[in-house]
Amino acid sequence: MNHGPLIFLGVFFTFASSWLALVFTPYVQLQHLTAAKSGETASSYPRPIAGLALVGQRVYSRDGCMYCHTQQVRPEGFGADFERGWGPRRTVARDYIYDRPVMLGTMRTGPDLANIGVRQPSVEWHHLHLYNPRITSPGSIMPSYAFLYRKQKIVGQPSDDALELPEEYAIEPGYEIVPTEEARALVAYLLRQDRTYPLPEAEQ
Amino acid sequence: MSDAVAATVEWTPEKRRAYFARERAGIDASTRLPVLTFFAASVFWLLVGTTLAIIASVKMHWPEFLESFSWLTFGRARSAHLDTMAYGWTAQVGLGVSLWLIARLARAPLRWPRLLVGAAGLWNAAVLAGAIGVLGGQMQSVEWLEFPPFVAPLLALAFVVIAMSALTTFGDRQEGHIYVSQWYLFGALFWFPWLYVVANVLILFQPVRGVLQASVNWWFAHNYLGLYLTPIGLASAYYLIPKVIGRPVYSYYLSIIGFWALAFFYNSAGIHHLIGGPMPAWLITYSIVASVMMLIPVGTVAINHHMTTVNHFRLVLYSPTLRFIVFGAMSYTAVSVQGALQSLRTVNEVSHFTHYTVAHAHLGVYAFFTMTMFGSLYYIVPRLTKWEWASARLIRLHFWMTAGGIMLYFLSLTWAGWYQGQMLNDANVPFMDIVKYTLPYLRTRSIAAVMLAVGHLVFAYLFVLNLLHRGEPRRDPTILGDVKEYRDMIGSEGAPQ
Amino acid sequence: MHAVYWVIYGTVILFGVTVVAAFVWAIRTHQFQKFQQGAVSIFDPDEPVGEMTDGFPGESGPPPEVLDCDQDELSKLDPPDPTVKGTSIRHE
Ligand code: HEC
Repeated sequence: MNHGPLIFLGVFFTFASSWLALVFTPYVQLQHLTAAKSGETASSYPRPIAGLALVGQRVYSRDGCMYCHTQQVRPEGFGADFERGWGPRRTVARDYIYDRPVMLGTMRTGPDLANIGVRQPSVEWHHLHLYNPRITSPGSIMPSYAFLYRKQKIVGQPSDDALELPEEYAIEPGYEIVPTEEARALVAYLLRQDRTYPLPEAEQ
Repeated sequence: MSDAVAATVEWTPEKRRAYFARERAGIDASTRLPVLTFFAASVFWLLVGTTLAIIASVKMHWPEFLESFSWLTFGRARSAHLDTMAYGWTAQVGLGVSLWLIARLARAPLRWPRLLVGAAGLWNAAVLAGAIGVLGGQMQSVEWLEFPPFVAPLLALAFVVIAMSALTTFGDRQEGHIYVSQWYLFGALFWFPWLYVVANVLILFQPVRGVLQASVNWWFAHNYLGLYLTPIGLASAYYLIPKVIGRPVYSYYLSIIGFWALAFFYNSAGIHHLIGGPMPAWLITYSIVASVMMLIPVGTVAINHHMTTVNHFRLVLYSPTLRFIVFGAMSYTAVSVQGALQSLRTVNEVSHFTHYTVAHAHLGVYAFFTMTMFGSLYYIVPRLTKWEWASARLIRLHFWMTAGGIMLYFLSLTWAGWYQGQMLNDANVPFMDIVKYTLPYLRTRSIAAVMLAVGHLVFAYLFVLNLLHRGEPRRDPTILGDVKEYRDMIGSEGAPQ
Repeated sequence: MHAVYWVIYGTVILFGVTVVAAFVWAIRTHQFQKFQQGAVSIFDPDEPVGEMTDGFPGESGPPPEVLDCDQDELSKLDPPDPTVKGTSIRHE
């Protein structure tokens, strides 16, 4: 065999077939998905990510939370996502139309976060946890994101959003730990993780 | 060369030998500068990637380790590890090996060596910028594409220049037959830029909607291994195994069937990474079918390499190249069969989202590809530097550290991952129990990483010694053709009639 | 949606026809004859079949009984013209 162009054609065709099947066809099928109303809900879901949560999405992406956390609930009977309380229904393509980038994740070193905003709505909890996961979850191997927090001297009254650290994690007296803008954004993003609304293709 | 000149030489068997030896040495020499540049840079990134790997691995069981440095937080260190290994080490060492193979198999000198060095410079600058970007907070959480977007056009440009040089050299070929390794290389050089550009455009520059990004992502990431690294690794194995033991491949038919089956099926397998995810069911099923069909090309390669080596297996004791490549080829069979099984829904229900997948990925990229590349470097580098490796003992140490390290890595994480998956699927097991269960295995993984690091340091040391021509001067048993010597013997006449 | 189905079926047919055509062409032009010869194209008089080309530095290679190539097996190969590399295939 000494026909270079022929090999090239074969190489091209095989590749084109996969491009057609895995890129082009799904594109035609899903590119035009929009938010939708289901049954009695007044507004369409999902809602666009905006404001502080958008900044938080960037932090989540930049610091690689995705490499330990998924954002997808598998269907009932496939794994134990329902039984673990990670969501009341499977997630579907429409749930992600506003995500950039989409961070479905492939690793569950930590729990799924597709609905963490519903499961854990407390801002204080999230700040403590992110500052040092061992405070809220002893034995956790999640990294501390203390670099998203600022240590500052208390002037007069402690700040409203200062973290209430338990004794063994207390810092020197006269100082307090407050979330930076990025930490607040990240928590806003986490609280927005709610994919429990009904969709036409995924009633509960 | 004119026939008249050639006719003046009387072609004794010795002169015939000398003629081919000289031709081969001359072609090898034409690749020296660019190929050694790629090798040196890739060895550098191998060490960087290894350091980052150890950091990320330790952080997983000891989260306080280096915790105050935001740029080394787990997510970033891990991704910088992956990207430096992917684009710094594997992609680049693969390019070096490809260029050398292309020139050799075409029996034509490599085209545009200086331009290639320029392209290597651009490639490495881009990888460096990308790695700094990832650590510095410009990371994109898109698996295998974490580099900040501006890096992509630079990498693509450098790659296209390199591929053009390879194709032009291929066009110059004197050898009448296109050997199966060239088919694979041809595929790899064409597939990678297409994949890379499409994936970057559709995910980072003009993002497609929602989960389409995920399917494009896995189409790319899986094909990076399947249509870029795998063909290069197989091309090298298909050339070097027969070459080292002095036996043609067992069945050339099988090798060609294997090529087309790989081209067709591997292409479509990627979406099995999203089983159970919010994707259309047909898409996932399509990928599962393709993944299972991968047993065909894998079977052909396995039979072929097995039958080629079967009566000569003991030669691995006498050849560093063979030893590494045979290890790689066996791992290829293992990883592919495992991959086909893993794509079945029942298996995937357990293995998905666990360390099992991480172990599988390392079996592919390390035990198969990286080991094959080590073997190739042991063959190629002395022929370019005209200098034998400094120490047989260090080569053996390198082999046992890396082979032992990756086996330890694979076994511990596979075990941990499987049980992690079982427990995740049993809602009665509290989540923290699973975290605690995996800890000993994660520590074992760190030990394995240190073993691998020792192996890499030994290899880097040998490589530098070789570049600097240190150690006792030795020419045997690696056959190092010397152009001048042969010229003295036969003058500069043309090909034997 | 209809357009997509046309594209899919269209390409399936196009690719299928191409494959069949390539196969017919390959048979017609005897691409499958002397196939195994291709496997020998990487050897030449200087690095012939039966010789090992790699070894540990400073060590003697394998003893003859290990390297021993069984001649029967080799003779089955139908090698190309032993003097000139590749050409016998090119001119076919
Ligand atoms: C090394 C892996 C790892 C990384 C990286 C990681 N986590 Fe975690 N995460 C865990 C583990 C393990 C747990 C479970 C124990 C715990 O609650 O800390 C967890 C738990 C959580 C929880 C509580 C979930 C629940 O169901 O209670 C949240 C919220 C969370 N992580 C958010 C994040 C965010 C945000 C990031 C990125 C800034 C992140 N994680 C990065 C491993 C990780």
